[in-house]
Order: sequence, then C-alpha cells, then structure tokens
Amino acid sequence: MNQVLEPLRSGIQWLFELTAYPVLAYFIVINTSLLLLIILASVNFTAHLRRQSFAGARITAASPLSPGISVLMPAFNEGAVIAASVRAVLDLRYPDHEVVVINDGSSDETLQTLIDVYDLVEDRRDVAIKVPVRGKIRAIYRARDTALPIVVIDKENSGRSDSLNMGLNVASKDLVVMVDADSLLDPDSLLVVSKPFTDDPEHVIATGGVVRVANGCNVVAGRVVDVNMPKNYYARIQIVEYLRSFLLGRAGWSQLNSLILISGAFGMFRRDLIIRAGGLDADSIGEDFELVMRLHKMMRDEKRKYRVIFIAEPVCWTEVPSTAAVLARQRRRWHRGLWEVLTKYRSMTFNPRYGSVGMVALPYYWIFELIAPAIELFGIIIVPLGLLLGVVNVPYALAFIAVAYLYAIFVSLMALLVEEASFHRYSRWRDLGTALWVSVQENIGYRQLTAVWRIQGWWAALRGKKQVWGTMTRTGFENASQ
Amino acid sequence: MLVSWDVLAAAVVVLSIACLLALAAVVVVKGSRHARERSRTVHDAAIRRRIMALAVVEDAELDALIDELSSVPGAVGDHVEQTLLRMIPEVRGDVREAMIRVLAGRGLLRRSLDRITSRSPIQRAAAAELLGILGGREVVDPLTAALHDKSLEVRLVAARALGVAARPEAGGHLVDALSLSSGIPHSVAATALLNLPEQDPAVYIEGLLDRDPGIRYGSAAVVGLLLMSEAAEALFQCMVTEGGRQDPSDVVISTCARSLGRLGYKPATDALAELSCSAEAPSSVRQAAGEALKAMPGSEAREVRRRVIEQADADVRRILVDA
Repeated sequence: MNQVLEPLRSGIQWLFELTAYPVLAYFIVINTSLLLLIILASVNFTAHLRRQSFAGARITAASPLSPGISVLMPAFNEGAVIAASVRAVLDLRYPDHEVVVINDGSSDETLQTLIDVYDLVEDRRDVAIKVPVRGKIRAIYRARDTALPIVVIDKENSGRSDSLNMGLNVASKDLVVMVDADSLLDPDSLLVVSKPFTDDPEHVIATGGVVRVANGCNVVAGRVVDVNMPKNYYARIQIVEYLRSFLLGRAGWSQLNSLILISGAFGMFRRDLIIRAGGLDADSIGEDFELVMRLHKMMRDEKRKYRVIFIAEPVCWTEVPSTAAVLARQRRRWHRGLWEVLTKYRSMTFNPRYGSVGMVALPYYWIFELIAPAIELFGIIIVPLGLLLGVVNVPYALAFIAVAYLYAIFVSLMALLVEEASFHRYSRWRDLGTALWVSVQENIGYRQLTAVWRIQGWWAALRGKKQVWGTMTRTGFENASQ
Repeated sequence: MLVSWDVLAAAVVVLSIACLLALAAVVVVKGSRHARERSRTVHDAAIRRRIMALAVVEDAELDALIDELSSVPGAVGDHVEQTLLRMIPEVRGDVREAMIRVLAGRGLLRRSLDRITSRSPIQRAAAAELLGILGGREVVDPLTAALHDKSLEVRLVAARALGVAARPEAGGHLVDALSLSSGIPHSVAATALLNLPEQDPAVYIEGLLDRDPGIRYGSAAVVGLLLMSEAAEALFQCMVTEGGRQDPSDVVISTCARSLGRLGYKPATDALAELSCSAEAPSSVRQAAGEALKAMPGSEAREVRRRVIEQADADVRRILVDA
C-alpha cells in the first residue's frame, strides 16, 4: 500500500510546493477584486441616486426630440410569455419607440398569438439588408392599427444573433434595445437607460441595464408588481449571484469606464454603430459580449472617444433556470462564450492601445472569470487529498476555506449591504434573512457545481464540440410567484 | 506546506469580524429605512388632508392654508416640501401655483438661489432644478448664468429648468445654448425652447443662418415642432439651393426636411422628392426627406410620392408606402 501511496504523496507534495501559496493568493486577490468592484459600484450608485432629483426623465418622456428607440425582441417558442412581453414593452413610458419581434422559426403558437392579440396584417414591403443575415424572411407583419408601433418578422430558424441582425435591418429608430422575449422591463426603463444617449450623444455608444431575477415575484400584465424571494433553491442562489456579479460587478466596471459585457437581456446601442460594426456575430455563443468587444475595438482602433455605461436603476426582470439541468446548460454556454470571445480578442489583452479595456478588464476576465473554476476545483480536490496524505497541515486547509469561502461570504454580505443602502428591492425582513442565508449556502455545493459546469463548457469549446442552445423550460410570468 | 496556527487564527478572526460588521451594517441600514418609512407614514397622515385641501379650498381660505403649510416646522415641514416637490410635476394651473407659493413661503426659492452658487456641482444642479419648478421672473437670471456653469451637468439641468420655468425672456439664452461649444445636447436645449411662450420666429430664422450647426439644427427642429410657418422659406433655403445642398451638415438638412414636412410647405415637395432619391445624400437624409414627403398634404404630393416609390431605396419606400 505504501508503495502506491508514496509516489502519489511525492507527486502531491511537489504540486503543493508549486501551487499552495499561489492558490491562497489567487483567492485573496479574486475576492479582493470583487470587493473593490463593489466599492466602485457603491460610488457609482451614490452618484446616480444623488442625481435622481434632476435626472430630467419626465421631460425626456414628453420631448418630441428624444431619440427614437427600436426594441428588438427575438422569440423562439415563447408562446407562453410573448403577448405579455410585447404588451409590457409597448406600454413603456417613452415618446418614440417601436417593438420589432423576430419570430425565429418557432414551432409553437408564438406567431399566431401575436397575430391574434395585436391584429397583425402582412406587410409586403421589401427590407434593405444592411447587416448580412442567414435566415430567410417568411413574412413581415404590422398592426392593422398603424398607431400601434409593432413589426413582427417571421423567419426561418437561424438563432438569436441572426434574428437580432434581421431586427437591425428592419428597425427604423436611432437607438436599438435588445431584450429577450421573457424579459420584463420596468415602466421607466427605456427613459433611464437612454438618458446617457440624450445627455452625451457624441460619446455614449451603448448602455446596459441591470437584470434581476423574476422568479418568485408577482407579475401582473407584464409588470413586476411585488418583489419576492423565490422558494426554489437554484433561483434563490442566483439572486445573490446576479446581485454580486451583474449589478455590482458591472456597475464597478462602468465606473472604471471598462465595461466589456452588457447583458443580452437588456442592452441599448446606437443602431448606426452596430450596423457599421457588422451586426452581431451569428457564430458566437457569447454574442452580446462579442458585440460589445467589437464596438470597443472599433472605437479604439479609430481613436474615438466613447463610453459604454451600465445603469443600475432601470430593472429588467428575467426568469432564471430553476432546475440543475437548465442551469448547467446555461453555465456551460456562458463559459464557452467567454472563452470564445476572450480568445478572439486576445490581441487586445495587455495591449496599452486599448486602454483600460485591454490593460485591466480583459486580463481580469482571463484570470478571474475564465480560469476561476479550474483553480476552484483544483483547490477543493487537492487540499483534502494533501491533508489525507499529510502533505499539508490543518491550518493550511482551514486557511484555504477561510480565503476561498469565508472571504466570499464577506463579499456577498458587502454586496447585500450596498443593495440595501441603494435600491433595496427586497423590502421584507424575511427576504433579507433568506438572502443572508443564501450568501452562506451558495458556498456549499452550488459554487462547486457551477465550477464543474463551467469547466465542461470550456472543455467542450476546446474540443470544438457544436454548441446546442437547448430549451429553457418556462413557467410563464403570471405563474412565477406560485 | 504549512500555514501556522497564528496566521490562520488571525485570518479567521479578521474575516469573522468583517462578516459580523457587514451583517450588522445590513441590519442597521434596513432597520433605519423601515424606521424612516414609518415616520414618513406618520408625517403623511399629519399633512395629507391639508395638502389635498390646496386643490379644493375656496379662494378666501387659500391664503390662510398656504401660510399654515408654509410655517409647518421641523421634520413635518421638510416632509411638506418633499411631498409638494413630488406632486408638482403632476399638477397644473391654480393648484400648481398654490403649491409653488407654499414652497416659496417655506424659503425654498431663497435657499435655491443661494445654493445655485454653491461649490458642489450636485448642489448647484439640484438648485437649478428647483428654480425651474418654482419659476417666476427672478429665476431667469440665475438659471441663464448657470447655462455657463463650469459643470456640464449643471448647464444641462439649467437648460431643462429654463424650459420648465417657461419664461419668454430665456429664449435667446437657450438658442445660444444650442451651440456646439455649450456642450449641452441639442435635444435638451431645443426641448426647453419648445416650452417657452411668445416666441419670435425671427430668432429662429436668424438661427438657421448661424455659423454653428447646433444652433441651425435646434432652430430647424423648433420651427417645425412649433409650426412656425413664417420660417418655412428659410428652412427650405437651408435645405436646398439650385444646383445642390446649402447646409454643410447632414443632420441640419434632415431636420429641415422633417420640419418642412410638418409645416406642409408645398413648394418644397419637388426638392424633397429629389433628395429622397439622391444617390449622393446619406441614407439618413433620404429617409428624412421621405418622412417629410409622407407628411405633405394634397394630390400633387400624392403623385410625387408615387413617382418616388418607383425610384427610391427600400428604406424610403417602406416609409412612403404607408402614406
């Protein structure tokens, strides 16, 4: 037995001598960087909240000179939610916006629901193709009532990015918002997310709004009217995760003027610039990330001053996966997209020509987003093994737990503190209790599971395996709270 | 590989204390907000009836009610101000006037006039916003001065506030604010101009000839939206001359075209048709000309639209088919 264990022991000892302190340092740095982003986000939120009284949203809402917005909504088998989602977008408070729904070859009742609910008629006019598309148009529909600003493109199935490109060709307004059909927008979301374009039309090229978890909330007529914590384990944990990464992380990057990722569920762009950049990459899994990176590259290459801004206030609510299978698929896809985009734009990394994007944001994503699951899994396998074989002492193993998990709990608590002091969407004490418990709970099991899924996504990308989107089982928002 | 017990203990103690402090802070922040909400409810109950009375009270009793609300002291007094500031954008006419008198009576005008010269740009911007709401002749000078503030944010809020105050004497200053050098977005200054009463078309006709493209754009947009038919010929001249476009800015030409469409200026029909089919003009200009043609009234325009549909690009055709 000893003859077997001894070489294993020496191998692990060698590995530990090489990695023990770097692993501890890695977790200290990753959690500290998250903490710094949260601090930067709190500066961003403070500035945002102090300016709320003179934001001018009401005047923008009434101005005929506000830039027009086309809301692009790709839909694939969204029959359960499509009518409510379109209604919610049509009802948004904004003086000049249209909804462009792109039915991506749905096999369910998505198209028929839209035709019936909005009394659509076929529109036989041709479309000027400014961004190349793959899916062929089957028909375009408009509302019989021309006052209803809705266009529905029925096309062959060709994926989300290609559908959005088709939407870009049909859109007629200066700004475009890309939203998912299952996204629910707050009534003033267009007003607030378009404000940077109004205030600084020369430089702002894209804005992203915060995405929050709709599971558990009461939804009436496509609006979130009562924010609650979901009962589902996975959905609950994603609330804290979204808060930490999507709200505070991105607000922090925006404060550094280095925001490189705008969520596909809610992003606003200048239409002329996306068209000039060639639209979305239909072959990319992380098409939203890829688009923002391409815009960064284009603007930096042209030496133009520009800004990509994250706005914490307008809320887009989305239904997150509530089963392990769907969540696993989502995380594999995200990580695969991350790998593809980072490698595609590797020439920008550590390249001073690309400013803070190249020198700070991209290296951060390589080191702390892409590699993180590998280090995490390495740690949770090797530390217990080393302990068993007597290669490391107990204090080292406990120190690993402290910097990897206890520090992470502290970071989550700080995220909750900033949320509580700023937007406090979860008003009940009970919700706070749940969020606090979830901050601890996510470190036991969930984090490790997501690390495995992310590694699987990365591995699939390295093997060049074809990505399958799969289906997201939805309950429909009206039932989300049940 | 070793980590000493001392190092571990120090790390765990520091992190645990940090976690407990963060936890306590979350609880304190939430608790204090709940307490604030409770006190707000109590204050609401104390003043709601009197504030609602501003809308329904007889004229003879109004002055007494305004005096009463103006003199409410302390935290309840602050709540009166906050409540009225939230309500004012939603109300018009005499009720709005009464609310503004309460705010002025509470010294908000004086405080805002002081704060607009404060060192903090956020204070100055907030003061500019309040001055716009309070309105009146005395706010025009400080707000027009704020149009030249070193902070762009203050300049922007001042432009919006001048629109809310809606004083005719602010017109010239807002036209100047349209210039590119002001940094104020054209849409903000032009929107403010739309709110001003008693506007003189001559100001905008002059603006259309200005060297600054921002002023030309704003003037073109405002005359169209305010339907100043006196400026139609100047718009037309700005958009086109014999042998080619006059204005060097495509944005200005597009805006002139749209405004001519709004005004229904028939002599421009052929020029708009030509522009909407022009291979030299950028797509945005062609589409603007198409939109203007779509808005043109009369049978002659209908004929021109039919002709244009056969020649124009797909974007312009999509615009015109609806007409």
